[in-house]
Amino acid sequence: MSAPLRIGSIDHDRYDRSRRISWLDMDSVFRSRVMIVGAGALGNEVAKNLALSGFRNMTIVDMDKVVGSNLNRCLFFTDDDVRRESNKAEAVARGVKSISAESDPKAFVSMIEDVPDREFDGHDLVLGCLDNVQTRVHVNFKAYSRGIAYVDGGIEGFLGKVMVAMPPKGACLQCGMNRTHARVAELRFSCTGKDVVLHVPRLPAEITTTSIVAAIMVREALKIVSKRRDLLLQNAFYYDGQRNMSEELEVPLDPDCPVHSRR
Amino acid sequence: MKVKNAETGATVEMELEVENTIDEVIESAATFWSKDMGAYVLRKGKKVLRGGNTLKDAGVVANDVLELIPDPEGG
Repeated sequence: MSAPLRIGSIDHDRYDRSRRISWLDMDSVFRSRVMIVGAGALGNEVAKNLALSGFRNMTIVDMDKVVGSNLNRCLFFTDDDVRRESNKAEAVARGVKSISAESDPKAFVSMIEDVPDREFDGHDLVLGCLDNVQTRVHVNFKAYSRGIAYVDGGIEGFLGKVMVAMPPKGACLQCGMNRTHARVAELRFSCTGKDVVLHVPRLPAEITTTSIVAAIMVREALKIVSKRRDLLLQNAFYYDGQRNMSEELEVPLDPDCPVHSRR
Repeated sequence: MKVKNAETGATVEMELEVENTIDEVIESAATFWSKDMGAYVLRKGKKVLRGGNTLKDAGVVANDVLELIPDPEGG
């Protein structure tokens, strides 16, 4: 027998409005384990959206420290973090905890390439909030080869992209890459970070596009954990905020893609 | 065949052979428009074309208009 209805009780349930979305499986959201790779601008927004959406188990990976130029688009970073040179992953974990006491965020201050493979296991979903092609390729492979869904986001100024890879079927992130990706694979397209070469131009970045891309990433995450593949992006979303355009495009599976030929 | 610059709406006519690859079209168009170093993709209709494919493999024909789109890699 369900609990008796009390006057006003629906306004005390943190997730009442979420539960009104018929296909959203909130129990699955609460149980799911999500890895966020990259705790920069996208990582902040993704973590915030996940926490408010009810995700509790998050692993946040980033090797960088907070700097002043992050503060135009990173919700969880403060001037105090800049002064103390806080680790981004730890600052985001603290931020998640501050808006969702029931959450259990774990920070890894490390390059994702140094995170043991076993740390991927047990995650239901990986969200890529990265700033370079090489690391995207690495995370895409780790996730796809383990059968873990991968949602990748990218931004530059008012341009954004989200791609969803759902193993074992369908294209992965690398299927959509070409020679121009290979040429810039080792460049970091961020504004900050100890490994950024000084002569590499910093990319434009602002919060509105970051927010939109992060929102779409987490919206797809909600569909994935709710097992609503029929609602998922098929399979890439391109956004141009300057021209007010967005479009869903298909990235077909490439049988010659190293991820598929190595499996 | 024409390539359209998604960022500006400009188009350029390209003389190509069926054996030219999508990679070659992307790089030629990006160079023509003096694009910043970065990743780009080429779309035909609702599909992103595979870089290594020839125009013939990709089903690109004479009057097609392909669109060059930046593939943002920042985070």
